[in-house]
Amino acid sequence: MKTVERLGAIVWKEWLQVFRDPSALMIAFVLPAILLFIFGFGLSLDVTDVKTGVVLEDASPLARSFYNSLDASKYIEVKFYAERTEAELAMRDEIIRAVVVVPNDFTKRISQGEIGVVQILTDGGDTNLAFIVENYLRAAFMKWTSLRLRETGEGGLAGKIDLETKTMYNPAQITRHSLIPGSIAMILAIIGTLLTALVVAREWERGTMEATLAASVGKFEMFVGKFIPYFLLGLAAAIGGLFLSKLLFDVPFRGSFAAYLLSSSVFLLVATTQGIFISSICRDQSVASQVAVLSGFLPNFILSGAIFEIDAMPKIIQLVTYIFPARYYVVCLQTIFMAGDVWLLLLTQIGYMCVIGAVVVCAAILKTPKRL
Amino acid sequence: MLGSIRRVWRLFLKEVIIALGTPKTRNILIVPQIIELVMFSFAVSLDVTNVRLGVVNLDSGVESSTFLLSFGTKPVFKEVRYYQSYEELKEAIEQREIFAGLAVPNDFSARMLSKDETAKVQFLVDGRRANASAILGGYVAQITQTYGVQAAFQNANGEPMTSGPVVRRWFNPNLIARNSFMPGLICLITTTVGIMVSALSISREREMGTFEQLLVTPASPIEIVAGKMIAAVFLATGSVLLITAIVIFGFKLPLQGSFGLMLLTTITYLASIVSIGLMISSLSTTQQQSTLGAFIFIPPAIMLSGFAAPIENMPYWLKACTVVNPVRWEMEAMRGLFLRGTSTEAIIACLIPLAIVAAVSLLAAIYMFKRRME
Repeated sequence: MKTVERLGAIVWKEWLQVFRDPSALMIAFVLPAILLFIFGFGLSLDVTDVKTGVVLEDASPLARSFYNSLDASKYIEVKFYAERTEAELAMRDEIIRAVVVVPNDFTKRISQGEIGVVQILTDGGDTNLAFIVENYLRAAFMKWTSLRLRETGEGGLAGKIDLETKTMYNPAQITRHSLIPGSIAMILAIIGTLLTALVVAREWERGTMEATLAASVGKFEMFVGKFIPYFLLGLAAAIGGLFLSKLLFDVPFRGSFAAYLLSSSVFLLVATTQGIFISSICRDQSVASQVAVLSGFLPNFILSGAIFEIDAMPKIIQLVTYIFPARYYVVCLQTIFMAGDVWLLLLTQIGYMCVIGAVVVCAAILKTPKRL
Repeated sequence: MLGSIRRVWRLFLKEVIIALGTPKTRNILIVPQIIELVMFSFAVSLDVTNVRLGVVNLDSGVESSTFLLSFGTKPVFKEVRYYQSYEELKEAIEQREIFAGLAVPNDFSARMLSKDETAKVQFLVDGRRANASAILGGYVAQITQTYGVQAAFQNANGEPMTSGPVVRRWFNPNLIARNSFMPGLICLITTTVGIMVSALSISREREMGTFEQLLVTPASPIEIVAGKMIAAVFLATGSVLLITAIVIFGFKLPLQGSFGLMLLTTITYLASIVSIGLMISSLSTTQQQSTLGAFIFIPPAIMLSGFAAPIENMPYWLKACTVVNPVRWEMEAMRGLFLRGTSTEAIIACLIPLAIVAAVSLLAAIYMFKRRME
């Protein structure tokens, strides 16, 4: 009974502390909204209507027919250039991002049985865009070639292949729909880790921690008492984030609220505990905020798979991503938002987060000081 | 005038001594930047590699297996897994066992060999990772169409086709993602260092009580701000130069433009960032509030700079907002200097908005600081 009473007192004290400090409230409520807004509007990797210059050095009907096959597509927007140098200058100035050159001996070489007679130039400054445009242009040229071979009968017994691409859960390939769920992980990490680390470290700096320690509070009570208020704040932000992303960005939400709440709680458990742990070790706001950013915000931004591809990272960094809960949480979020409640997958991911959580909680309780 | 310069010099020395005096504060200028650089440079990539591909082949002909072979041999695919039915394939994607799958119907070979019919293949990809699914979709389309032409060519000529379209990629011939992110990364690190050395500098003194001591010195508010600002720019420039050296010599990304121009843009940029940091600092009474301020500034400024996603993709009103964002201009200048070898005029075109932002934010910082003191 005593424990519950003491716990209640600590929770109440932390609660007052948060609600009486405008800057803590800003971190908890205003910052998530701003971040979600910026991520939602500012972060899109969609590759559509890429400005592509086409230079027709050969104006024969054959060259024209290739040009026409390029014209109608959602990926590129064709701009016509008379001279190759003109198109190259436009590419240097970033007016266009790719150039297709149909050389003046196009017809002649094709009649000699050559296949790859066009030249493709792309702007490697943006590798993502360059790769997509390059593949699109190559595929378009090959498709045109196979149609041509079939018409002229040159292909003998050979085939046109129709590839029907079905993008599951996201037929229009809107990148925002997977980036916004991913950014919720980032936002919760800021609240859970950064806010908690800062507020608790300030107590050390100001010496008010001594006053709390003088009370007869056990390690465990101390930890839980600090944990509950920030955990609840994080949960509030998670619900707010869901609400905002539905309202502003029309992101699908095919899973259940229960699944969302469950996975978010487990993630916040780790993030908040991490914040308490950091503050117990650092005891200094500027160092604590540095450590919180390095171990909380950055890994959630880079190593979570929300934006950047984990599969493309070197082996050793891929291994590092397993330590941070963000990786699992992002999978949960993307699945709940886009695919629905795939319980087998969700529970496995939540299970991994629980394991990490158990380790961090033990470390934090051990490190929660009872003495100065 | 001379006295003023001497006072600013003294304040500058004081700030530098505080920053370099203890190991803890010294390390903050070096360690996080190196961690950020290494972590980012290896991890930041939008490439699609190591893909696990699932295959359902209901066709028993030779054509389908050679077709599927043309995927299995591509380095993008780490592993090819076989499934018995379309449903199993979908289930595997749902559980994230595989990222994408190809389904070949039972009449594939027959249709490939017939003159008028079109062979059909279905490609399924996990749209939960939208960008990766778009990249892989384009790549698979390219392989498929190339295979079709190849098969036609081989049928007609009896020998494999050797030539495809000639592709050249400018600025980054091997499309190494790290090379195109690296200049932006330097800019990102410059931003965090610049904010870090300035945002806490006034609020820390206020919290520790040394601010009052500053106020009783003969230095005027402008001199105090100048001293803090010059010191912050000086320290951050040192830290940035170290990072740049690692990029040039360690990661072997050559500087295409001139070093002098790079230094000039960096210092101009830091002047604007440090002014913003001092503004945040004079607005806040505690370090926690300064940190919060930094967090309200940094992520949006980075997001709206074109670092992770192109500015072209933003809605027009947001695109308009990026004009006042100094990070955007520095990002553009760094990419020009390192990657594209842009002309001096183009770099100066970035320097002008940077200088304007720096001047405006410096005036604002001085104004806020003066108001704070009264």
